[in-house]
Amino acid sequence: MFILPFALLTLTFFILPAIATVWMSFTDLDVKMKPNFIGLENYIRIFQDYSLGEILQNTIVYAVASLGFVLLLSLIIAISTQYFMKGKTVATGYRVLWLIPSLFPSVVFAIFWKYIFDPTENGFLNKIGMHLGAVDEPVSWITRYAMPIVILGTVVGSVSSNVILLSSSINSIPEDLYKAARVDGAGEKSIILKIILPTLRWPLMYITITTLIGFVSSYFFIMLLTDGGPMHDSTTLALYSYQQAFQLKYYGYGAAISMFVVVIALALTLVLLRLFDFDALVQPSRIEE
Amino acid sequence: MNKKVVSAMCAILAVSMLGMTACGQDGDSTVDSKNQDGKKEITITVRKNEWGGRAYAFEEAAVRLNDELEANGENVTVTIDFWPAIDDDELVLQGQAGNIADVTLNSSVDIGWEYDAGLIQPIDWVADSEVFQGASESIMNIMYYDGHYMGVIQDMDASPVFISRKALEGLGWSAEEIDGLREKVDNGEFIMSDLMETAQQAMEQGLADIGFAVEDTRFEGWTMSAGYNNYNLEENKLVVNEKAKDVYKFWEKGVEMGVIKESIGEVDTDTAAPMMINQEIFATFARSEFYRILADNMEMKITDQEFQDWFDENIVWTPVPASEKGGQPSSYSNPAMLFVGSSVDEEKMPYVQRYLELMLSPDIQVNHTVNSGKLPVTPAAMEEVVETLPFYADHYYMTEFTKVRPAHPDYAVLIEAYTLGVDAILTKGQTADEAYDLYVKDAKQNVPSDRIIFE
Repeated sequence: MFILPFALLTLTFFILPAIATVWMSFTDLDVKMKPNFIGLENYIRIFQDYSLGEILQNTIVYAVASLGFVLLLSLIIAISTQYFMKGKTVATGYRVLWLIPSLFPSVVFAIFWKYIFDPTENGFLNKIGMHLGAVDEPVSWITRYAMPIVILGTVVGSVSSNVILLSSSINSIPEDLYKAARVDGAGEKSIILKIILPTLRWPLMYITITTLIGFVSSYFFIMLLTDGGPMHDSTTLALYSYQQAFQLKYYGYGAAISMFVVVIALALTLVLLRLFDFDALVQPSRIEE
Repeated sequence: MNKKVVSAMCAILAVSMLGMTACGQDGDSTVDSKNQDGKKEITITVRKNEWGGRAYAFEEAAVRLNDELEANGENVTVTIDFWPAIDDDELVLQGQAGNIADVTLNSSVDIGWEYDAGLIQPIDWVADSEVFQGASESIMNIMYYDGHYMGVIQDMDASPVFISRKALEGLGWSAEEIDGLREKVDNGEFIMSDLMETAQQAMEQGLADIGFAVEDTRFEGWTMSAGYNNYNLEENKLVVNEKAKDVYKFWEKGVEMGVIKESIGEVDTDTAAPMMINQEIFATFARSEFYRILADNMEMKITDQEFQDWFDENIVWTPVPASEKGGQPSSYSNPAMLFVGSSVDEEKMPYVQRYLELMLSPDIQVNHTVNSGKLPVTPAAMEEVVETLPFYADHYYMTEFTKVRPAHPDYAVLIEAYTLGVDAILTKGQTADEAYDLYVKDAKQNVPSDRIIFE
């Protein structure tokens, strides 16, 4: 009975919209709001879409590169601040510094990046570049390097929450374990590889799966920063789905693309669960046996 | 205990659903009731857009309507129920939920899809409305779609090219030549290629960093200038033909000459205004509203004499030049329209009509012009502008040949395809032919085949 209100909320705001999206994907629903059942036509259209290859490639590049950099940076920051500089004020300060980007709403964050890469002389990077004589005239950064800039912005904005998670895991490792390892002659490299990283396996799996799904299905930041341009250079599947549904008002086709995104996210999750050997992770510990 | 909790939950759910049902009926019908004075009360629901002078217009028209009703001795009071303005997506969803306001404001390009979605209704009384007596044919045409008048135009603009006067002076043009430029453009003596060459010279001599800035890469002024008409009014279908290649050739040439930079799409009017003030841009292709944006950037109002003097000393404007000698210049606008919701019945319509007509009172329009930089839309309002705002009075003649985006429901899809071609030239170094092929490919894929003609 206590979960009834939450069950109702879940039904209303998650399950029903999901069912509606599945239903929409089999219709020609557009702005007229008079849907006709068209079977698999929208799904067939996805595979006939000449831009699908490029958009799929963008999605993979964006999700994998962002995930790679996020994991690497999160690990480096967490290990540096929670192992090498443990207990020092500067470590806490550094972690807080990385927390700042996640405190800003996406709109503000996008405006910040737009200022950095503004194509006029007033842009931060152009101003610096011209002042130092590195560039003769203002460079149109976003036009030339849309995807790397989108990845950069995404990585900076996504690192902080993962750092917190990894830091708390590292913090849970007893100091005695490090001391015992050092007594046995283990160097820092061995401690990181043999003690810290194995401890982080569970949080790393959680971060990898949730972050990757987030990147595959996210579009808002890209929309604000480049709107998928120039051409389709930074358009991902999720953004393409949004553009079809809400900018061009082809709701049925947009829903079909979003279902395609769901299938990809689901497949990735299953692959990652297998890679991290999820079954072994959730088995009871040997102590309990 | 459990039964009580279940009952309470059911009661809450039932009340919520009843509440939602009641909300859904708000905009459905005329509210007929009598107030304390025994007067019949009519409620008009209005989605209130507050940009420029619109908030004042919506409120003041309501006051004037009731004053008028009282003066005429009519036993009616009109109450305006203001709803917040919302985006197109929400408009569709609210419409589905039955929340269709009696009056909404959107762009003229939205007529097609709003009509298709059943959100608005034709209002053919516009043809005989006193406020549009003497209005130009082009203004009347803006409101006309699929055999009916579909809304009331609220504001509009023309698309003057704002050219740096100082750059022209730097190139050695005399004051007489500069002041006579507009006439040459009007006569088709000075055409787009001349403007491009002049921009190139100005850049070469260090008189400007950027040749052309444009409000948007889809800028229809250039499409029109190149003679590409992407809409067939008779058949109500979009059109793709080889003339589009001429538009792409213009872009290609502009890039080759260096007057169009790859960042042109990122330098919108808000960015261009301070650069224009600092003489960094040779010419900005914008709309009437750019005059107000310039004033805002100088922390002045368009009514300030100081601003008007600065403008005359630093900027000269012309319509968008023709592409061929002897051709007619072009001008483009994206006017705002007041639409009447599909649920407004015959009984309420006269009051809605009068309300909209009063919104177009000359002084209300002038107030909007001052605050928005847009052109007034009726001859009576224009007469009031002549003395106070010479810039608007001077370029009002452009409304006679100003064209608007087609109100076709799939126009946004076509333009998406068109701008892909532009981006291909700007960022990938593709030729006009390649850009055109991409345009055709994308339009064929995305615009439903029964709504487009490939010639």
